[in-house]
Amino acid sequence: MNGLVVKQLTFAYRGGAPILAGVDLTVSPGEVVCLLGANGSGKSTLLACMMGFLSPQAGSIAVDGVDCQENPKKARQKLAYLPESVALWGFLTAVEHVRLVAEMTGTSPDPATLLRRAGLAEEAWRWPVASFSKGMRQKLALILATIRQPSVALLDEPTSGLDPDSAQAMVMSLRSLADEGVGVLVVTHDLWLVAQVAQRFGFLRGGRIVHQGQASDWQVLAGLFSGGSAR
Amino acid sequence: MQHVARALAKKEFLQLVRRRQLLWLGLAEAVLAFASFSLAGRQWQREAESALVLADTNQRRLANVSDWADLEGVGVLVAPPTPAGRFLVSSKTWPGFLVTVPELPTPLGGLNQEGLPSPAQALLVFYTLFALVLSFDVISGEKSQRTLGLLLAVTTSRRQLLQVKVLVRCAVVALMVIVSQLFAVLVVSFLFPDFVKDPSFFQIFSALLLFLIIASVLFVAVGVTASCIFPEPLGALLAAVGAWVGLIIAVPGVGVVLADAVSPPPNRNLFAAQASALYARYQQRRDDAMVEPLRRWMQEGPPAQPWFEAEANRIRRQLRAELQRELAALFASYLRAEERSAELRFWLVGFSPTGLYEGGLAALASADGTSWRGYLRAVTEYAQGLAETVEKRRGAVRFVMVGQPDPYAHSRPRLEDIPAFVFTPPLATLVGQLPRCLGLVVWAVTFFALAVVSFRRMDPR
Repeated sequence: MNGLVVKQLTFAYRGGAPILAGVDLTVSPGEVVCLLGANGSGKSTLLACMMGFLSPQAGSIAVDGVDCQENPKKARQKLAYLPESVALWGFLTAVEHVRLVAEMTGTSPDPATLLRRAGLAEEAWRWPVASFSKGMRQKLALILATIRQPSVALLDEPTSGLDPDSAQAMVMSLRSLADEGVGVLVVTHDLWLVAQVAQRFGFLRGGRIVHQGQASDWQVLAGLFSGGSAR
Repeated sequence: MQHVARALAKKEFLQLVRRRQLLWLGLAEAVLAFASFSLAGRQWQREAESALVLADTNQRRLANVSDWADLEGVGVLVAPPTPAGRFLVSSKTWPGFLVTVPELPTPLGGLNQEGLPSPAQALLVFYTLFALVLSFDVISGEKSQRTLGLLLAVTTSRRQLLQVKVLVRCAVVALMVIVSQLFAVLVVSFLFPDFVKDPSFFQIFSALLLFLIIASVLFVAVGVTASCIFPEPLGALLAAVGAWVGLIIAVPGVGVVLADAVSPPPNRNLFAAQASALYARYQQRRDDAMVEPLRRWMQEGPPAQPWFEAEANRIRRQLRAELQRELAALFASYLRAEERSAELRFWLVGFSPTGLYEGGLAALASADGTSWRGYLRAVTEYAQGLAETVEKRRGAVRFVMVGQPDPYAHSRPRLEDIPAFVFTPPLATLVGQLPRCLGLVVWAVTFFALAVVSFRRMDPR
């Protein structure tokens, strides 16, 4: 199956209680799925398992049919990953970032086209990224993460700390990604973002997805958030 | 996957250049190298001047020696018949042997006479520290600014990421060592032209360069390992500096103290006192043995003079031969104690990075002790010391260097009459030091392996 398929994923740190206990999740191409849950519920850990940063004890993760454990390199090539509050390399300019990451991924996009499409002001292209605002950094980070046209994009709190304008720009970028057929999995606390971009949402609690539903189902969402502790 | 490595290398290099780390560290290394070579060059020049003065002085002293009688009370410096770092000394006033190992006859090697760090030691201390500064944040820096996840997402594997980062750091560090050292040699060649033309210079300089590069790479490995184990740059820096203090200062220091406590090096003053006591006993026995022949000569008068001279010479030769055997045994025990002490030091310190580095350079420095410069320096120092000692007792002293062209050779003791010690130093060549280089490489590989294992387990988020 195309897109992202997670089956019965279980993960625990050595000697600790399970963080993820049998997580099932799918993200189809062109679909935006938001993963919600309280702090410490395992959302970022789930993304880390998908990226191969952590090795799950049980279960499987597949991207476009490629198993992430069996063939991590190939699977990672199909994934884009945007960590929370990425700082990037302050000594490089935006153009240099695009060129370097393009070279690393073996692609050759036109930096100007990408930066313009991401809405970065042209005069900022040659500034060192250290002088960028958080919103500008997030825009650039999203460009870098998706530079090799992935099948699935994994975004960890992409609107965290952004002002409304920057958050709106991020929403546009996510929609644009989905329109291109990329499956998008967003880990967030931001219900506004869920309402803006998501088709579906999953709610993680105690290491399990306790509820999956349509993003328009506000009453369920509100109930889940007010319904108790994270784990 | 070459494009990944190329792009990563480019990024690493830009990082080092734009943060100006390379500029400041490169400048510091160049200044340090220049200071070291200047000191060594000045010392070399002083030694060369001393050698000229000594040659002149010896010529004048030789002119004052006319027969065997003059040698009674004269220090005799004997250059060993084989190339050696030790000199044999025999005289009536100060009997026996004196071991002088020509320390620091070469630029940049070993400890200097005051026990202060030599330029070579200073270079090791600072260059390795600079290597740490360049490498302690190689992974922890990426993690702290949250770019490690991004890097791992766009590169193929952790191994490749670490490999490229380490290779770039190693290449930069090696380049900095080479450029700073060559710069220093170039400048010093204008200040002390003869210093860099010395035949031993190239070998020692090549060894220094090689050892410094490998030692710097080793401390890149130490920095990278700290960076992989401690995710915070400050923690990584503290751990790296701790490892540096341990490997460069603590391990060799503790090893030396321990070795000296278990098997102390022989005491030269004690050796001198024992040799003097043997000689005093020889004098007493000779005087006692001469009593009877002297009495007979006085009784029988001039006709007995030829008999008396022959008998006196026989007694002197016999007792001197005994003395020489006893002194040789004493000297041998001294050397054995020295060797035992050196061996223990080697086992306790020789395998530490500092021990390997200093061992390699010191071996080459000792080899250079057979050169004219090391030889003359040792002779000068000994002659000056002996002159001061004897002059206080006898009011006058003359020197003769046996083995030099000598118009009065017929009146001198034959070389074979003087207890000779043949010391053949190990043939120390640059190639011969490769096992020590390999030792440093093993240290580096161990740390790199530790870094790989730690990085594999690291959560990059």
